[in-house]
Amino acid sequence: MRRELLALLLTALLGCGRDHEGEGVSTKLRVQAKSGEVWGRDLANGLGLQPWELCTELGTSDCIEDAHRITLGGVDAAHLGIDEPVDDALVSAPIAVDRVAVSACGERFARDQHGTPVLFGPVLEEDSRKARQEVAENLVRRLLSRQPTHADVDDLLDLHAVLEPVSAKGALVRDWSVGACVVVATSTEALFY
Amino acid sequence: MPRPPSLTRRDVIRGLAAVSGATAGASALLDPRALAQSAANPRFLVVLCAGGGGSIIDGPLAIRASESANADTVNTFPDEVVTGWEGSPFRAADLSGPDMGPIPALWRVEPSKILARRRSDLMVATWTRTSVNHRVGQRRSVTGNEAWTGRTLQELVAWQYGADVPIPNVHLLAGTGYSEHGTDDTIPPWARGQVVANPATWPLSLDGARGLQPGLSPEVLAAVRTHRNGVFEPDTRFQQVFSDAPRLVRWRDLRGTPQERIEGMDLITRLMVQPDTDAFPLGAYGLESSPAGQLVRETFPHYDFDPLHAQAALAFLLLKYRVSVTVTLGPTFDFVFDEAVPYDPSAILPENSVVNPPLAFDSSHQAHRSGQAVVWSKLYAVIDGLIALLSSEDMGDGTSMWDHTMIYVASDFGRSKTRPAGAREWGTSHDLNNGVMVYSPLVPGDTLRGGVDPDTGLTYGFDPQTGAPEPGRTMAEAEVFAGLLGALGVDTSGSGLPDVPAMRKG
Repeated sequence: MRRELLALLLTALLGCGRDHEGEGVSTKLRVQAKSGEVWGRDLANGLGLQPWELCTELGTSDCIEDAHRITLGGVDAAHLGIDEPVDDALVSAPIAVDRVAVSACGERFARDQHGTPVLFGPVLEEDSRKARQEVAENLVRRLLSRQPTHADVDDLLDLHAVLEPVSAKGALVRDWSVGACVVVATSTEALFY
Repeated sequence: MPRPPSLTRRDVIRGLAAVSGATAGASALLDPRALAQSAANPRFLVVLCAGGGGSIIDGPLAIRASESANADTVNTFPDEVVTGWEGSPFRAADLSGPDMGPIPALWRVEPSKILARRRSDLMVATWTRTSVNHRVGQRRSVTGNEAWTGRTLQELVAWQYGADVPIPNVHLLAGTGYSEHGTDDTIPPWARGQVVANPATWPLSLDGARGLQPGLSPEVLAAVRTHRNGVFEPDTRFQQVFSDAPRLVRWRDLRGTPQERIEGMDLITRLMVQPDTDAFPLGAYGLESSPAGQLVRETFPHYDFDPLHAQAALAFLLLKYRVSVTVTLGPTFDFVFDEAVPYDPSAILPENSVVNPPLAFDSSHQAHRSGQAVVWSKLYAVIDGLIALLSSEDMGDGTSMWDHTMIYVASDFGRSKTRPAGAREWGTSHDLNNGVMVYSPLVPGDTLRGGVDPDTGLTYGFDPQTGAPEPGRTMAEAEVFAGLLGALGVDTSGSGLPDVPAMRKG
């Protein structure tokens, strides 16, 4: 018994000196989903695009305002009588989110290729680990509005090796750039608050 | 941190059974094996909403003037416009008129043509409702006034028959009481209704990669998703702090099996009602219309401007491709105008150019006769189309999909039964008294359960066991709800619902 008490005491003393950051979990678990409109605005700000430039289905229908409005948690009281967002995420919502992000990140990459780069300039200039690191850090800063952690950056850099076997010849720079952007833009941290 | 495995539907059912203390054989709804058997031999439910208040005595229970002692002041029809059939309890009133109340539109309807060929699968059961509030009435028409802990018909059918399909319960008519979730939280999540707001563009949300230019290849997108879900996201502080939040758990689950099933079934193609046109350039984006697209467009030709036709076309595809086992649809409250109807210099709006009056059946407040006639006719046409399509789908055992389907025409409530003496057009209010139309090979066909008093226009009930009409009796919402579930073969063990064998065949 004395040994157990001693162990408990030691654990408590050691624990006092440790940084608890990273160990806590929410007890209330109160998380809300951003509506498509809010998420889209954040995404547009992060990518340096206007909200209507993010994604257009078949070139005619704005993904967030029109085509996937309700799926992305929006409302349309005037036309559909939906004056509150759906309670639970609809089954196709994660797919629609991915769709918007692929389109928006692809648009940013294309503009950076053909104009003044905003986000992907370093890898477009020279595809290197250092360039990718710079892009990864900026993705987190711009899309999540916080400083990147080492884990964030390492994980995004690791994506490069993951995509190498499945990426078409000559497409790896774009696939990694757009893919890393999609990873951050569609992470739960970007979609919920 | 490894991602915890998602619960399978079977796991959920086992959990529900454990929580409820159910023993083996207690209820098919709580037995994974029984649900698997039901899924292999499904029944399908189409809830067709008569929003605004479809009056049964303006539909198949029309009263001939000669039958009523109060023909001038009760909602009756001139004998010559009413078609009946030998031995059948049903009628159809073929009508026309110069306007729809304040809307200067000619109209003409001939429901007798459709009823003549479809009444063999029609049962009407009378009932008396408990609310004349639209939203409340709509809700109670699918819950039997919360008769079974607030579960909806659609949820129960999805629960019993939908364990093997990706989106069992789809609501194509949003923003009504017909499409509200039930109030029973023990319903399995997959049986809850999924709202589809726009049948034309919704299929585009069923694939993350296809149809985007330039997008990512499916292989690259799959790798990106896997890396996000399994590596990047678990390392974020946000995910670590809120990992068990119900919304995040739900989101994580949807990214798993449901997403794989939806994308694996190529639903972005199969459910695409729209053709490849300049306005909807599917081909330019590497997409194409559904293999059954032309068939549904021919059946519901107003698909590109009338929401009900667009809903009906998608509803059939959802059932045909086993995406769903129940679909809910109905006219919206919007004014719908057919611009293709040729100009008629003798009319302000040419005949039948108005295909949906504002407020659908509720336009009866200002123009009962025309509003009821036009919207009933619209519903009959959709029923006719759905039956034709479902009858052509082989189940592989010598039966068609139609043999396993019920179209339940749900109404908010009825309409008042009287009119100013001799009026040809008048306004009506909401009324508790009414009846439901059910088209299905699962119910006694060409059969009326209950009856109508021609002197008052009020319906009366029936014996739930024998079906014998009982003047003086009214049917409760719970009884009709139970009768519908019985015909659909839903296991109601332990529900406390009455047995209503008169509403099922055999």
